[in-house]
Amino acid sequence: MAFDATSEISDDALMVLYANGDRPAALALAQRITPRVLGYATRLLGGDRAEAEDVAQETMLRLWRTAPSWRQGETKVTTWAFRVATNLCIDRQRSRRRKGQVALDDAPEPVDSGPGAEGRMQDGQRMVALETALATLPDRQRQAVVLRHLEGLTNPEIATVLDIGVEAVESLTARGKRALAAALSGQRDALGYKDDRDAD
Amino acid sequence: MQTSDLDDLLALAAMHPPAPSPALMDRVTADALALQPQSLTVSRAAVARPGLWSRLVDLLGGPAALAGVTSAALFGIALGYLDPTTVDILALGQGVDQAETEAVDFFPSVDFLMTEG
Repeated sequence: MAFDATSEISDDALMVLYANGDRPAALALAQRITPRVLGYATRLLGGDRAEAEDVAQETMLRLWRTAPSWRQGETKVTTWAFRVATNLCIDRQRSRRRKGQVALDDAPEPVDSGPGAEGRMQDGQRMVALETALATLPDRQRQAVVLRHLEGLTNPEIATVLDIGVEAVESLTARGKRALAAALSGQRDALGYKDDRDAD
Repeated sequence: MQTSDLDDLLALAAMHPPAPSPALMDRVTADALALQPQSLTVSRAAVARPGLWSRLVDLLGGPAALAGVTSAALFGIALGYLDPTTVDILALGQGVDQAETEAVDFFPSVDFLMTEG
């Protein structure tokens, strides 16, 4: 099968194709899942890019090993991957805490999101502020907020990833958002939100 | 910070996830291909149709059965051609100890077969 032909195929079906030795399916899965796991892990690990890449690679490694026994329709591939990544991130956070290394200082790279340099700089500042605020949240709240608002998972999917009930997910995301708002409350003007509102 | 500002900030972050480096993608792809099970393609040689002789042997029950059938057939033919006068010698031992029986002709001559019809 040609690589281009994989764009319409579900992740589930790609897993089966991968297990049957289909090379384009391997490439398609790698390109679909890796960026999402990396983004999630980066945010859970407070912007530590090197550790996030290790988590992403390890998650994908487990995905390849699981593929031959993958059961279609049981779990979404992304949900499975986020669950594995969550556990790997928790292990690394515990390890860091044991060693007394809290990497809250690791600021993410500024994001190139707009046509103008000023806009890019402001977006970059906002991303740094968000990453820093996320890092102040308790682990469970951070996981729930990132999965809900940054990765776009539904509450039942988050419940599967975090192995908790849907009501607990709703509670975690609500509390997480309130905590984020509080952490960012003193930076609203600095992040340019006042100016944006005035411009409207 | 107001809820709408936070929603804007989260939406901005969702639109710009950290991009994986080429090195990471190379490592992930290498892992994928190294761990990928081999394709289950079936070669033509593996499914080649057996020859007529092989099918005939299989039909008769395999090489051992064919050897048994062949032996029985040869023995039957030989028995059919034996001179009936020698059957008593073989079966009952008659005449073996007689002095005049110096040689036993197991197979009949063509003339004998012609006269027997």
